[in-house]
Amino acid sequence: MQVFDFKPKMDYTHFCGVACSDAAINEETERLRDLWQKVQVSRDRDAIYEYLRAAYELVLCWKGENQEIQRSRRALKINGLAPSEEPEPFAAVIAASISPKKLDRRQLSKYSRALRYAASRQCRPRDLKRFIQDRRGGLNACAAKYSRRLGRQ
Amino acid sequence: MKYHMDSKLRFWVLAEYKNTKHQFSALKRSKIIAGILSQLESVGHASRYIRKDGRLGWRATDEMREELFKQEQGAIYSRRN
Repeated sequence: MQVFDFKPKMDYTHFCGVACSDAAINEETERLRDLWQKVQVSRDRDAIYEYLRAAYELVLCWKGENQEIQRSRRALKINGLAPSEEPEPFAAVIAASISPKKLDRRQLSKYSRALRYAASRQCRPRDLKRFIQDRRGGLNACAAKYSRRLGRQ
Repeated sequence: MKYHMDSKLRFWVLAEYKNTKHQFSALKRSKIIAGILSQLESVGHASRYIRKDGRLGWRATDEMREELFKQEQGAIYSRRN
């Protein structure tokens, strides 16, 4: 007798039961955009960590549901940017929430690498500032460490 | 399915559930709550977050808190006058 091994196409282990609509993604990017504007107005040099923490937390949430690639593509699309086949989620969220005219590619890459490094070290969102600033020597050092890990100079 | 929410959001979600449950009597409670959460998320009043144990939770956004504060102030002011 043949035994069928049923494997569903979708992985429901991380399914939280609430669909994420385009409006919800738009609201999240709007929230990040407001935070970015606050960062720009603020004279506090550590204000950027508030924004980075929010972006980091958002991607971790999407990651928790195994939807980070799909949702980051949607976020880019909603904000009128052309998404690649498999966008890097941190970079996509930052790019979607900040106008490309206001953020140059190098800065975007630096933030994205720093956040990826924090994610690879399983840093919790609330510890992000302490992790980057105190324990790893700042944003530039974190980004450099992640590049080194990838084998780039 | 259980949804972990902060106290403020839970209060308003349950209030909305009580108002709407008679319209969707065929649906399970968790489905109706999922719909309410989805709607609140779409208008920017609720957002997902990662809990300490790595599971997903829901919380009220600053926008919702500000709006509730304004409404509370309005109610207090109108009661005084």
